[in-house]
Amino acid sequence: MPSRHILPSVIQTVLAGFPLLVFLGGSTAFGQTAAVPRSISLLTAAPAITILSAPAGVPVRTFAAGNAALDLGAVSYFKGASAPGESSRKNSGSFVISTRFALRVDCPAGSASSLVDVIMTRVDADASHAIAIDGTTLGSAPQIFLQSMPCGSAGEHRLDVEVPVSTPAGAIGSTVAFVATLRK
Amino acid sequence: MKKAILLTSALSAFVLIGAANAQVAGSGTMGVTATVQGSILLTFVTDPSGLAVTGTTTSAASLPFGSVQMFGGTVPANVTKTVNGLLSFDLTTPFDVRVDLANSASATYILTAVLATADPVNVWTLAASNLSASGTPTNMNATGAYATPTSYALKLHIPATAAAGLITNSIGFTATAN
Repeated sequence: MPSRHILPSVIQTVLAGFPLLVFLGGSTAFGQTAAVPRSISLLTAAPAITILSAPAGVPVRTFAAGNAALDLGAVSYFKGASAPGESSRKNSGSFVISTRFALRVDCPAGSASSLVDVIMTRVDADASHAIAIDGTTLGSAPQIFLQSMPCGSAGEHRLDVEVPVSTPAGAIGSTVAFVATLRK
Repeated sequence: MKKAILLTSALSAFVLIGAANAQVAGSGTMGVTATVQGSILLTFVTDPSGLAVTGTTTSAASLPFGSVQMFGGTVPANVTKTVNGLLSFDLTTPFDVRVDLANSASATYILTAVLATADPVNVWTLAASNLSASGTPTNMNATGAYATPTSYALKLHIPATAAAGLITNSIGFTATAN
């Protein structure tokens, strides 16, 4: 008698696990496992932004993953800009330091589109100065920077930093964020 | 088992729809830094009642008195000639100095002046202070107001014994924020 109970119990366990084994095995056999990574690669293969120095601009320090730094150095109202690749102009109550930089966007192979839209946003809220790119003053709200930019291309852009004469002497800094989206 | 398959299918469809609508975006950031320095600007301006300054509103100007003589002759407009008996004569004219400030909390400035080249014959006086080419620059104003032209009278004292000819010199001005 006890053996009768043991045997069905073993069989039930094996049978209960079988559908699971079949399901797992079937998912590989029917290519469903391959389908999951494919959808993940779609989500992660995004356009890559690279910010570079422009020939007529100040040197840009480019870091990994699309991050860069641009230092305008010492600037003043009456002496203007001191570093090569910069220019300055005086307004009645402020001065503007201008330079140029390049932005490149590369798209992953097999992208659904060969064009990207790029938006820009000023991340900080420092009121001591204003920043404009290609004449558009940046704010906390995203703004269209480039539309239908071909993947793999780079463009040169003008950066203006306007400093009021009322801004105390010292370091100023801002961060501009760019987001490139593949066009549908 | 049927219910389980249906549930699985529904989830798969949801994932695929999600992938199809996803915005594939890449991002980058650019840090922008600068060091703002306080700065000060000194300019010379023609005084309303003074000799016209060549290069007015700039930091390098000149006061051309032209040809003058102790006795007779003509005196340039807005120049006062004072003949001191037979010993000497003075030429006096006002001109303005304007100092502007940016990116600083300074309220006033100090203005000093120094003669570029020693003049052993003539005496150069600015706002009643004799200028020298050596030693400490002459303090013209200890609490100058920014953005306001301030008038200073330049007097050139020429002895009768001085030889005829060109008299030229430069006066260096320095404005320092208080």
